Amino acid sequence: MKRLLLLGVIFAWTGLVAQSEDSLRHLTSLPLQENSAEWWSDLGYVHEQKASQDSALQAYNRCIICAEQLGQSLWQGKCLRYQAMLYLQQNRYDLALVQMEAAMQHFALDTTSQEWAKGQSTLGEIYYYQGRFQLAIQHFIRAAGQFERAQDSLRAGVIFGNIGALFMEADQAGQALAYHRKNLLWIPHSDTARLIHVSYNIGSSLEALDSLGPAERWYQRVLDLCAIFPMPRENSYALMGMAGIASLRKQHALASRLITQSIAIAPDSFIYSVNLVRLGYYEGLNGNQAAAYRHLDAAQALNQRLGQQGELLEALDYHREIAAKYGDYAKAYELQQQHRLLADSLGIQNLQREIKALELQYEATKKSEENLRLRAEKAESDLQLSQAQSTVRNRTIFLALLLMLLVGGFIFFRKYSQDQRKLAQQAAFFSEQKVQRMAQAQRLLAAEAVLEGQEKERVRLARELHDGLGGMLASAKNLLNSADSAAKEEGQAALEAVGQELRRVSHDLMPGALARFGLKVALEDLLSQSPQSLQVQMQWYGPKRVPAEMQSNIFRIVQELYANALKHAQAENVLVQIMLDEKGLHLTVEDDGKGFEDTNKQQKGMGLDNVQARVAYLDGSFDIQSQTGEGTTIYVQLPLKKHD
Amino acid sequence: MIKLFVIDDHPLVIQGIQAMLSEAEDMEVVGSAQSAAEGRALLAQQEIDILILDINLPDNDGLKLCASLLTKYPALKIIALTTYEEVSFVRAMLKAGAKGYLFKTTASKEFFAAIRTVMQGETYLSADVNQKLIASALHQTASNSFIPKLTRREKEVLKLIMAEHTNQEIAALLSIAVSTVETHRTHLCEKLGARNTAGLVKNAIQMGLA
Repeated sequence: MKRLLLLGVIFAWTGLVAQSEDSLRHLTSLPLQENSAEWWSDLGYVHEQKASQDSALQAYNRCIICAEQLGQSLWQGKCLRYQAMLYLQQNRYDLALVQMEAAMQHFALDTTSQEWAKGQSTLGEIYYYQGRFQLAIQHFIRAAGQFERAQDSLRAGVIFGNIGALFMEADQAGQALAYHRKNLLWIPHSDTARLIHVSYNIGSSLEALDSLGPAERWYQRVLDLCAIFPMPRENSYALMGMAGIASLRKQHALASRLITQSIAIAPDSFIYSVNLVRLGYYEGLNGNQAAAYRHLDAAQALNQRLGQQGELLEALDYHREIAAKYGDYAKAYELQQQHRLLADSLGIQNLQREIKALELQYEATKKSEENLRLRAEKAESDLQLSQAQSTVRNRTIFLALLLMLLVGGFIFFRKYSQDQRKLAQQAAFFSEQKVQRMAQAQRLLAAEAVLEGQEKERVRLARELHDGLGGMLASAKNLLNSADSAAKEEGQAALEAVGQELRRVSHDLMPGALARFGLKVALEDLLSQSPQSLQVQMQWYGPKRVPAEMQSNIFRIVQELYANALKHAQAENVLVQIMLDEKGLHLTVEDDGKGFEDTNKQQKGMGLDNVQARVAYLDGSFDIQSQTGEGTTIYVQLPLKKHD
Repeated sequence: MIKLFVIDDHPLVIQGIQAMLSEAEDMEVVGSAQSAAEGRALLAQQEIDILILDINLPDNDGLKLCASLLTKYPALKIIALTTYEEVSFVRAMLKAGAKGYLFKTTASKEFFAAIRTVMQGETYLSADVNQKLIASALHQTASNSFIPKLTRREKEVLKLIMAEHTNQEIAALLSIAVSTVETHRTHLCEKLGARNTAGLVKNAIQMGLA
């Protein structure tokens, strides 16, 4: 036992926190002290922070045992409640309920204490997640009463909000509205985030009560507040609410415009998919069958991919309605079938969930019995341990001295080996310099190639501008000169083409987003317009700013490599990763396309020589790995020093 | 009558808009400016309904100008008229408070529709802009997610770290430089949010990457 304790201390000193925690758990051998329970509870909290829930549960168990022995009833209750909250996080509601019922016995002595109120609130949450709304409301109301008396504005407000949400779930919008309004009273004016949240809730309660005008005003308030304090989720939900109201008023065009705005700010794919379904539905009501089908198909595909079956069900239902509206009964029938199949399978899943819940309940009862037995055993062994403690104490002092010697030795050894490594590095540095000088000559050649390439680029540009745009402009002018109206239309179309061509050429020269928003945003622009069949993921680690003089070169490198993955490799997934650290910029572009065997042979045709020249120009290194059928990985490393 | 003001550094664009609006009966251009400073000065003297604003101006950024004008005149409605087609510009402009986003190639019919829509207090985005926003939102899930995606090399290195190989051994096994292995190790730690090798291994298991 002592050896483990020592290990724990050494681990802590050398920074291996995970191991340290493992070993420190054996500190049970310490004799029982006045603050033992509190200390265990703290350890539990540390585990929770590190997301190791099992360890946290164990630590709280120890706290409960210590508190039991010390007669600290409050601590017993507190830790039981912490455990219940952990079980709640794990969706093990029955276990949570067992712990909470035990905890409430410890709080029952003083029903005006904060702990009692917190307990009521946790009970409310458990019942809420179990879907037992009436019970949840009862407990929440008890908790809220106490928090209100104690002027605990934060907790009282949150609980009023919870009660409101519950009444909403129970289809009692009137009650919900009353509680959301109560919540509003408890919000300090500086707390914009909560104000936004509550405003939205009031809006949606009013909407459920068919008070469309007032609901709209509250949603508008959310939008106004979000303009000052951006909360994309609430902002998007409020827009959805307003769109719903617009649609009820048969203003379908307005509805789809509002949803489009909501899509522009959708913070995650769930909200995005919900919006997409609505957009399709409103477009359908607005008379755009093609757009409606397109959006609804996309929404169904997205929901399928994300495994959101409830939303998929909704999308199918809306799509069926739209198909029926346009007399497309074959499609409507097909959608109805899909809907029925999915609904059936969801029904079976619910049944299975209920069976599982029953099993869990059984397990929970078994577990609480076992807990009682373990607690009794542990109390006995702890008693024996504390008796043995005093005889070990002298040996502890000796071991501590030994430990100090050991650590001193360890530190000295580390310093020594670091010095040795530095000497070796210096030797390596000098021989490396020789290699670098040779490499420099090669780099100059490569830089020349880049410059030559730029020259060629300019020639191409001049030709394109002259031949392409010049020709189009001339024809447009001629067409417009002959004043007949059909020709005028053609002329306008030709001018439109000119505009497009002009934008394409100027974008090729220098993407506007690159100069204004920097490399990361420009790359996001580039990758975001990829075809639906391609999954592109961009990962960026480290600082977001890249020296301005490097930006356009890096952008071109990624553009070229990405175009290769798209065109030649026929890839389905592309990963673009940029990592900035003290060594420089590391770029990886990886695809799962067809790959190739002979790297040298392929490079020329695929524009890789252009990439390599740019890399050489920036003093970087370039590495390519590929195998037929295995995809391609290209790795570029660039130093972030200034280049002249 | 809807009163419009145009800020654009190309006089041809301003003339074009004026010519186009002669067809419409319910709107007119009441003034124009070729720079941000000139626009700011003129707007202080007259009341207008809608401002047509270019993003590229010689003396100030259209994005910044849009935001600052709106703090001064909250009731002002601004429509961006630009050649930029990138989604980032659309987002930035809407974020700055613009109520509409139009390309300079927009036909007169759509231009009128946009002005009338914005006048009613709604936002107007052309069909192309909408399409682009949707496409870009579809790829939105693809930014740094909770569980990072590892490159092939990182996966190989992680596997060897988990098999308790040293940097030297990993370098030899993958025939790469020791310094490269160190770099990969550092990057893995950053990506998995770990401070050291022990944390790296723990997080890799937790995230299901090992």
